Amino acid sequence: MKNRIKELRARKNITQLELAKLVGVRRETIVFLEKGKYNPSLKLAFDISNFFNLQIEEVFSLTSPTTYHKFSNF
Amino acid sequence: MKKSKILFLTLSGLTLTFIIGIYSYSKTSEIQPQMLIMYLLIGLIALVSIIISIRKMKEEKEGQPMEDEFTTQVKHKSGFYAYIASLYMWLFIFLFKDILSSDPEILIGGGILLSGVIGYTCKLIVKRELNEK
Repeated sequence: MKNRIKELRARKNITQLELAKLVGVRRETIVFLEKGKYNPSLKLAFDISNFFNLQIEEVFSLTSPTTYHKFSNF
Repeated sequence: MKKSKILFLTLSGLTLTFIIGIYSYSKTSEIQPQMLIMYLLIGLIALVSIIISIRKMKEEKEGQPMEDEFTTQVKHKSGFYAYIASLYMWLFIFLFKDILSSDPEILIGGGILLSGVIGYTCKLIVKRELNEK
């Protein structure tokens, strides 16, 4: 899964620590999220998206759309 | 009192007690080379733990939680890997006990210490490869 957290954070001009405090996680978690090394829980993904006033799919997206292809026939 | 402060004070207290214990022991009897390696390993673990607890204390002062979903996930995964690795380590110790040492205290103590090292190593590995499919 990839995300736009780094880009959106830069636009809002806030640090990783500030974002971490606002969504109630450790700074380390934001670092790993930005690097794409950690997939957040649904709650955290919603909290981050809400903070940026965006829909969840505008912040987070799948790198390999295999699941979408599987279900597209139904 | 904050959680990280309690952790720091406990670790510092234990390390101090350990140093005093070794000092008094070395006064009464000679320390074996295997024991010296073990003491060094304990010292290293204590040092790393104290550094981590100081960092956690600083982070808690900044307003960060001590644990969150990421750290919990890392803890659970690394705990499982460390458990499996420790089983193999004990098997290795029991198979080669005659070569390693004749003193059961050294074997058990060394095993416990190695479990700690395995746990920390697993944590580092899991952190690196958390999302690997």
